[in-house]
Amino acid sequence: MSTGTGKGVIGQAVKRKEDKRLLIGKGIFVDDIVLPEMLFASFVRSPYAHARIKGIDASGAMKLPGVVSVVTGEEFASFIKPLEAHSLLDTSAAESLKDYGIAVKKAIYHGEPVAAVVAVDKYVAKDAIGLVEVNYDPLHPVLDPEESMDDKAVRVQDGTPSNVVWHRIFSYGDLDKAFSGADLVVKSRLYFHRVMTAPLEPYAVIASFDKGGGILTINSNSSHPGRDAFLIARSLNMSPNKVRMICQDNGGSFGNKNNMYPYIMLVGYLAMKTGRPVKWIMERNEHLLASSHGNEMIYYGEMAFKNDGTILGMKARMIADEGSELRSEPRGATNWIRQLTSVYRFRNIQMDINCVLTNKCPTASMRSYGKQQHSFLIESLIEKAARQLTMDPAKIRFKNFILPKEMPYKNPTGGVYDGGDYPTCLKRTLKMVGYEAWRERQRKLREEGKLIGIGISVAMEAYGGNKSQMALWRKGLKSSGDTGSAMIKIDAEGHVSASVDSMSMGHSHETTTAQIIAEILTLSPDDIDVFPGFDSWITAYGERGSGSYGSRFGIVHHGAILGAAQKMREKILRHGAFMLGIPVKKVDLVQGRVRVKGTKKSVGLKEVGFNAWMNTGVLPKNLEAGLVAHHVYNAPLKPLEAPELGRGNFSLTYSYGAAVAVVEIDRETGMTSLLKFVCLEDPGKCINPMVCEGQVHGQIGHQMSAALFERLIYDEDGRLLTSTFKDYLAPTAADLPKLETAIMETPALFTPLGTRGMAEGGGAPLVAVVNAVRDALSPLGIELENSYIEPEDILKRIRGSSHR
Amino acid sequence: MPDRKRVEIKINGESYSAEVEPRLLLVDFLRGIARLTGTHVGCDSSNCGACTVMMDGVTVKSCTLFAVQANGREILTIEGVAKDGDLHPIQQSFRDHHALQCGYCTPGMVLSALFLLSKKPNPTEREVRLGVSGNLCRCTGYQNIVDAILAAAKRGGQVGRRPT
Ligand code: FES
Ligand code: FES
Repeated sequence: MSTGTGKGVIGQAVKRKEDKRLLIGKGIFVDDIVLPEMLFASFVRSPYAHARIKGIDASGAMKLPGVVSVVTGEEFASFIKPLEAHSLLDTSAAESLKDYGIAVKKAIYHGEPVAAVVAVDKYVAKDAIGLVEVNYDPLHPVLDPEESMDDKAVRVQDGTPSNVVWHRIFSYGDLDKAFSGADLVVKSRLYFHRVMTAPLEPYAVIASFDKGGGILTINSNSSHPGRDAFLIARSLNMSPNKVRMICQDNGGSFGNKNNMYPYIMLVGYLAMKTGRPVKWIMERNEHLLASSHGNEMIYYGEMAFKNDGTILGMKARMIADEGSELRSEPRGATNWIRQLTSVYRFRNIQMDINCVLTNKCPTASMRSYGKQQHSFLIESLIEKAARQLTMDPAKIRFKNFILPKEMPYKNPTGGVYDGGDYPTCLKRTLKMVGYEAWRERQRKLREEGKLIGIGISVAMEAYGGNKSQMALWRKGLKSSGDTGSAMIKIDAEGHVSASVDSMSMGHSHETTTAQIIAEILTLSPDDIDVFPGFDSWITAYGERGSGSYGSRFGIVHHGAILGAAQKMREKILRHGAFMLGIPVKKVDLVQGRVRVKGTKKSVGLKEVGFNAWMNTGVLPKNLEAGLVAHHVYNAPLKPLEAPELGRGNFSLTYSYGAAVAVVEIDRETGMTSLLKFVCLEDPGKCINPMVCEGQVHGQIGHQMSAALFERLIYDEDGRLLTSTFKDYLAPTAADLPKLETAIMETPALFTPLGTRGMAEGGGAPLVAVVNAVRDALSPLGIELENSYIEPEDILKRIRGSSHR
Repeated sequence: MPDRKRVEIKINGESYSAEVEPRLLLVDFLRGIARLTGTHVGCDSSNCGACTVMMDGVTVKSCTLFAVQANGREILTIEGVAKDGDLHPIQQSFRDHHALQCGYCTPGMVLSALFLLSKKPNPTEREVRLGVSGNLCRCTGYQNIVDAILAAAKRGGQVGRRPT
């Protein structure tokens, strides 16, 4: 008997299924797993950003008791094929790259793996690392992407025709007309700094190889296990069916763990070579050095305006510093295409995209991947124009918003915005912060000489990506759409369970999955067991898409869960009606019981389950035995409309939000303190508002501290200076302010539950903080063009200001 | 390699004894020898607090101590906080306030919160923020963690108690 009715479960702040095991220390993270005969791996890493490897002498390490094997990059390269990801780009420069996940003949970034040591325990493995002698011949490191673009620049990778791996210009509308008719053109060279989300649990892998069956089992904390299996299998020369990917509890990803496949492959090879399970747990300094970083970008941006603040057009030259390999890239360098004009109505745009290699850690997906960078571009230019037009920064945005009555709105690239109310979103956010009152206070405090700033940002975040984006990189590639997969089972005793091809990394998928199923099957979420994690041999099959990235759970997985639940509901009703001996039209489902409409006569899930599995001899031909429902949700997305023009609808949903920050800058120290911070997001329908709001908090935490604290710094030799949490300033509770957040639920038009995906924020929190600092410094005539607020720099500029 | 040393550590009321290398970290004793894997590791520079446990009633970062330094001492790990399957009030408050997402920081965070409340049963918001500033969380932006601790304090009494 169900403890619930299912009514209204979608939308309730149901407490999480995941919590208990995590609160009592009984979660199962990768490092908690111990396998018999298990060995431990550790990597020797390059101390240089760029160096020829002249030789590796492992004899000292091999003499250490407990060391089982030392494997150099060259040995790896003789067994494995380079990873496939590069071949997505069809330029000769990109096709000439060879990514083995480890340095072969030369090291191309500080921290790159050079050799692996396998030993009986992690202490011995680490001792042995120090005994592997690598003979390096240091080369000139290429660190500045603009210099790297020069034909004469030293090549980051051997044998490439150019460090520019991709260049393409995208034009929409009539740019000349927009700029020639403008009253004002603002120009900026903007720099979005290198930052990473640094989840608390770094990469972790255990590989074990069953020689008899030829099966490589991988326990890892990957967030994209489906794709990883294909990449690994190809490199190791085996069928993806023989790579079993298992993931359970996961200490956060935020995009970062989409990019661990090179390491999974290397550890997989070590297990195959030694014939024993091999565990590798990445340490924090390795993680900061050599996992994946977020996109570092330079923009030369221009925006044309009328005197009344109307935006006429924008052109931008983007130089994306990709680091030394293309891992998920150029996705981040092209994700702007999903939301080119953000929430605004202008239609004349040119984007000149340059993807460039440098001798730094590869960049790859990071929460609001390439999108917060794009918001930073647009919102910075608007902010500058507002100052030059002496217009209130809120007013200039209201002037340009697409209005609700224009929905669904088709943007210049062909993106179809799925509803939303941008003016109300900003209005509510301003109300939450007390905008007018703060402006008033600001006037008074400025008279007292205080540097107070109020920063606004409105940002879009397109979720539910269309695989058609890949056809921009490789001409003629026939890819489009996106899918999610879910499976529900009911056993002969009526127990309900479900699995989804997603990876939950703090996202609460077990809870929200149960909520959707409970609503459809008229149960309580407590009645439904959701498989915790992912196992490519057990959970719902989703091919290489399986995983969680780009906030797709709220789109394709919701669609899959709903579809499977509806199929299951149908099956239950048909079996129940058969047992009750009446047509299916005459029954409905109430509290998990099939009931004859208008009567009390009913059968419960237990009886239905028993009959469907254990009494199949009585079932008629047209009634399928068993209670299993599987659904692959096919997002209603189309191939590119016009490949040559880069036109198409690249996302199914277009979420958005606004943030306002109030800051004070100390004239004596250059330090910025946050006086107030509010953020509002519209993810469409919330399955669980508690979870949604928690996700918004997390997104603010990352983006706010990206502006104020977190920055990856390379020195002039290309050595990362911020390779511990002592220098990479992940904020503590004492560093962050009280977060005031709210959710607005304008249903998404094209998803079955009206959900939009959420939690990446499009950069609104980051830009709001930067804009607040700009506002605070504006009386001094100081312009800020960087996304990182550096107190020393600000202090220097305050001191140098003539308006002091 | 220096000689192995025998250490005996009382963890959550139970005695664990083993011959260990003097350099074995306490966190590896807890996770590897006692097989209490609720204590996590998130850094290599004593910054993140994922490894926080209590030693004789005071929070310590178990990645920063050798197991031999804990010889003869009493350790409380996250596994010893809940009693008979019932969540401790601070754990319950974390659940009620959605103060955990991935849960990786949670064990250390709960122990720091417990210690804070044992010293300051009625902390201000600022005191809570400072009290857990040795623990990083990358998921929550801390807001719900702060709210959970303040709410637990408000419920008072038993919250800061050291489970015995
Ligand atoms: S593991 Fe980070 S402080 Fe101990
Ligand atoms: S809940 Fe993930 S690190 Fe705190």
